[in-house]
Amino acid sequence: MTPDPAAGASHGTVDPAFVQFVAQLQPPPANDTPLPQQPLDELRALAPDSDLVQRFTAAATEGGWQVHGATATTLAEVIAGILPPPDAGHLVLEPLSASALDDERAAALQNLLTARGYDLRRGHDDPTLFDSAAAITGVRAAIAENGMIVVHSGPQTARGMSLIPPIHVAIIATHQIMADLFDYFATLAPPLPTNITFITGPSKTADIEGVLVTGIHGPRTVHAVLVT
Amino acid sequence: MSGGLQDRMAAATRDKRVIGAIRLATWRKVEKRETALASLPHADDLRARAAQIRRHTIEHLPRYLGQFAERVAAAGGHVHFAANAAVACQIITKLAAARTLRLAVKSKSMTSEEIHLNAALEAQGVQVVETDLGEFIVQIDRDRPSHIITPIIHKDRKQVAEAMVRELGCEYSEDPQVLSMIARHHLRDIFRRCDLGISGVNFGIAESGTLCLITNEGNGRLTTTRPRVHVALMGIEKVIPRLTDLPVFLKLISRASGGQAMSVYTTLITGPRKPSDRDGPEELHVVIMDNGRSGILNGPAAEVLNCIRCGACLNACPVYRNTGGHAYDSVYPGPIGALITPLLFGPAHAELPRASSLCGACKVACPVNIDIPALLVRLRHLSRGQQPWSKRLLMQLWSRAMSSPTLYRWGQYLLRGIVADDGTGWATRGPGPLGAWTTQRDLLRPAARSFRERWREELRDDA
Repeated sequence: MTPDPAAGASHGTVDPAFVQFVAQLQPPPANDTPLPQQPLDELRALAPDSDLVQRFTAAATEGGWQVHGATATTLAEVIAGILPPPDAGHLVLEPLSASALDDERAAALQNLLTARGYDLRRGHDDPTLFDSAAAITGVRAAIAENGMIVVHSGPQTARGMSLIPPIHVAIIATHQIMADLFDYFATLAPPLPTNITFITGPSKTADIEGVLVTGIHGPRTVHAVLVT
Repeated sequence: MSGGLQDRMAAATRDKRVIGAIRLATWRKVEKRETALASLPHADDLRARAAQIRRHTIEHLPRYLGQFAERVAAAGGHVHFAANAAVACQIITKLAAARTLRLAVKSKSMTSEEIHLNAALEAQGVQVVETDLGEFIVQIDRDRPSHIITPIIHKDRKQVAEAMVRELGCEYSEDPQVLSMIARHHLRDIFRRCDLGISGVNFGIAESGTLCLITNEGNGRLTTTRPRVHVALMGIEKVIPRLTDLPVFLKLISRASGGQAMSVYTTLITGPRKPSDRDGPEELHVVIMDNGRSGILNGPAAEVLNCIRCGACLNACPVYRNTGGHAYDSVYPGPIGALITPLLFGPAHAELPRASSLCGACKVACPVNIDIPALLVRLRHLSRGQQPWSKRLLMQLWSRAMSSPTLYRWGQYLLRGIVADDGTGWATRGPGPLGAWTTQRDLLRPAARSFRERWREELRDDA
C-alpha cells in the first residue's frame, strides 16, 4: 500500500538519526525471502455464508451490547424507546452518508425526538459531547465473529462521538455485517482515515481485584440497533 | 544465586495476603485464556502464523523500520529516534517545552515505565496524569506496577480506597464500581483540560505508517483524541509488515491476555488530524526507541523481540504466581521479564533467568510460540561464570554424576543416606551445601528403592 498524496495531510519528517540508525543495523540474511503468503481463508473464525445476524447478535450480547432489531419504518420508534428521558440531557446525532443512519433517517429521527421533547444537536463541539446524555451514530461496518462495530473518523464523524457521551447508540444495517475480521481488513485501501476504531462493547476495567466495572472512561451503555 | 534476587523472592513469598490475591487473579486469567483459545477455530495455525510474521519482521527489521518511518511521515507524522532512555525523555520534554504544553495525559505504556518518563516530564514542570485506572492508582499511591497488563494485581480494594481518600479527598468506599466512578469523574476533568497525550504502541504497521493501540477502558482513545499533541513511544521491535497481518495478532492478543475475544477498543491511527477531521490531535510524534534492543537483535536470544507483551506468560508462571512482580525488580516481570531485563538493562540482572522452574507453562501460554524455557537456559549458561563457586562446583558434580552410570548409582545411595525424610516424601531442608538450595525449594526425597534396583528385581523374579 502506498500513501495517497491527495489525502490532504501535510508531509511530516523523519529524524536523520533514525535513518542512520536503520542503515547501520545488520542487513537481512543473504537468503532473503519475502514473508510467505498464507491464504487467510484457512484461518477464518467464521465462514462468509454463516448466519451473520444471528452470530453478530450472540457475540455482541456476550460483549455487553444491548442488541435491538428494527426496520426502516420502526427505527425512530425503537431508538426513542431506548433513550433516557428528555430531562437527562441533550442528545447528539451524527448522520453518516451511505450508512444505516443517512440524512433522511436522521431527519425523521430528529423530528420524532424533537416532538417528544428532546434537545437534539447535530454538529457539535467537544463541550457538547462532554455534557451530553447520549450519542447516536451510524457505523462503517460490523463484524459478526466478535460482535463488534467499526467506526472511522472523518468529516461526518468525530472520534469523540462513540467515546465521550455515557450512552452510545450505533445503528447498523444488516448488510453492513461482515463475517470475519479478515474480511474487514481486506476492504482497507488508501487513503486510510486518521482513526479507525473497533468497539466490542461498553468501556470496561477489571483493575480492582478483577471485578468487572463498565463505563470507566467511555460509554457505560452501548446499544446496537440492527436495521433490516 | 546472589543474595539480592533470592532475598527478594523469599520475602515476597511470605506476604500471604498479596500472594493469595495474585494466585487467584492469575489463575482466573489462565482459565479464561484456555477457554477463549479453545473456542477459536484454527488457534494453533493462527499462533504459528503470528510467530512466522514476528520472526520474519525481526529478521528484516531494517527494511520494515525504514518503511514504517517513511509512511508515518507521508501521513503527516514526525518520526524521532531515541538511542536510549535519556534521549527518549529529552525528545519528549523538549517537544513539550517548545509548545508550552503543561498537562500531559498518559495511556498505559510499559515502554514509558522503562524510561521513567513521568519523572523527566515533571522535572520540567509538566504535570503528568496516568489515565488507565490501574496506573492511575499506582501513580497516586506512589507505587510500581507489578504486572504488564494488570498493574495493581498486588493491591486489594482497601488499599485502593485508602489511596483515593488520601489523594482525592473522596468518601471512603470499598466498592470497585464506586471507586472506578470517582476515578472517572476526576479524570474527565483532566481530559477536558489536557494539551499533551502520551501513549505506547501495540503494533506499528510498516506499509501504512499506522499505529495500533489496544485498550479496554477508552482512556487510550481519549489520550489520543483530546490533546492537541499526541506523542507515541515505541520500541524498534514493534513493527509488523502489512495491515492484513494485523488481524492475526488481534485474534490472539486479548485472548492470551485474559480471555477476551478482542479488547473493547482497538484503534488504528494513521497520521495527525486532517483539516477535514472533526477532532483529534494537530500533531503526531512517533518516538522510536532502541534502548538496548538492537544489541539483542543479532545475539543468541533474538527471539525475545518477537514478544507482543500480552502478559500470558506471567499469569502461567508458578514463580510469578508465588512471588508477584515486584520481586523481579524490573518493569518487565515474569518469564518474559526474566529474559528481556538482563538483555536490556545489563549484568546487574544476570541472575533473573534463574527465577524460573523451567516447567514450560510460559511456552504453552505464549501466543507467538516463543520458546521461553530454551532462552532462559541459554541465558543461564551465558552467565554461569557469575555464579558463586559453591554452586558451580555443585553443578559440575551434578553434571558428572548424571553422565556416568556408576557415579549416578553411588550418588543415589549417598543422597538416600543424607536427605532426611520429614514424613511427607519431601525434604524442606537439605544437608550441607544443599541447605541454600532448599531455602526456596523443597527437595524430593529419593525413593527407598531406585528404579534400577526394582528393575533388576523384576528381571530376577521373572527368571
